[in-house]
Amino acid sequence: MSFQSEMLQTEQGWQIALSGRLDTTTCGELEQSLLEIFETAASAILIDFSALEYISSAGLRVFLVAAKRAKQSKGTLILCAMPAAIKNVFAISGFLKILDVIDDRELALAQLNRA
Amino acid sequence: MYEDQSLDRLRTVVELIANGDYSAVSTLLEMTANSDVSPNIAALAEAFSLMLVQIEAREWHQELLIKQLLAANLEMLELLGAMVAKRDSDTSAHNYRVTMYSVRLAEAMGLDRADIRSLIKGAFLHDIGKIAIPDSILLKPNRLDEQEFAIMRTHVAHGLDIVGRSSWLKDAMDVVGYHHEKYDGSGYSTGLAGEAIPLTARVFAIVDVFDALTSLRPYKGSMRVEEALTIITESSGTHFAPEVVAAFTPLALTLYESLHQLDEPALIQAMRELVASYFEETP
Repeated sequence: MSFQSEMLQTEQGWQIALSGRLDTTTCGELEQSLLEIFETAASAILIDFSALEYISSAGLRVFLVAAKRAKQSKGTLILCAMPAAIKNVFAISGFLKILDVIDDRELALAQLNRA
Repeated sequence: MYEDQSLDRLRTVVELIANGDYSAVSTLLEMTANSDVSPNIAALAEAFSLMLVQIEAREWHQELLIKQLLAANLEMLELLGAMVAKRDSDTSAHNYRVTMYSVRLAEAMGLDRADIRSLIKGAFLHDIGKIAIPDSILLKPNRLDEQEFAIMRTHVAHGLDIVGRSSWLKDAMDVVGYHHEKYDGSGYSTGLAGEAIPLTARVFAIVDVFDALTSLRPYKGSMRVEEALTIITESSGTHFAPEVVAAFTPLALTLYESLHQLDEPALIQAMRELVASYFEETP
């Protein structure tokens, strides 16, 4: 199963939808894209996980790195609509304490617009 | 054979990381996906990598919590100053100015960052004990008589009683407790002299008087910088430490000009930036 990320830029910020498997071989480009966006101060990104089937440790690391970068440049990173299995991985790894994870996509969008 | 070689590679990489060589992390990640590696070992590499990212997440969480804690402490510092200012509104802008004057003077004298942090806390809260002084004395528009002055002097002990209750504020006690001491020992409350007076208190005393002299108070007009400096220089060795007078004199006019026209919001902003620069990570 491959990996895809669809990126949409709106006035309120970026919306990214992930699908497939996020692991060592597929996470490089995503990491680069996120870091590039956060190079601009106060950027906002919403990432929709609903079509993501698997995330490895490498994938998790991408979000840790992106979240740190966002904090540095006063950006906003919101993760939403995680399937239970994916959310579980984030939970076990302690990532729910350090990331903005919202279940409902509409709520997440509202938060993005407020950012 | 295949499994053994893979295992050796994994062991090498994991040992490097365990010993703090994080450049090996990318190699570890490669092993999770690499077809050169036996599936068993790739799975093991993934498990190690997961453990590692959990540790990193926990570390970052800790950093965030520490930052929040510091921000909370600094908010409380400002809050305490705001509290006393509600009883004695004259002193609000004064607290901000003397804190910033103190820092600049301390920098010129080469005090280290830890001492400057103590100085910031002590300078901002130096008169916190005044909250215990009755209005009739605290807000009296003219000179205090002997009895009233004796009561006013107790603000030092009250201040120590207050800041001494916080472990974060304990290092403010030097300035709070000794900012009315004089170099020749004729000050209060303890009558310390010379180098027995903590350096931060010696530094603070001069800017406290300078700002009082150059500001309007209900009981007096304000003085120009030159006049204030003359008075201060005349008190070198008696009221003030000579080395502090020497360091302060060339800075006084610039400091005065940079802060004196600032209204309270601007003073608050300036102090927050200065304080942030001293309380952020780099010790």
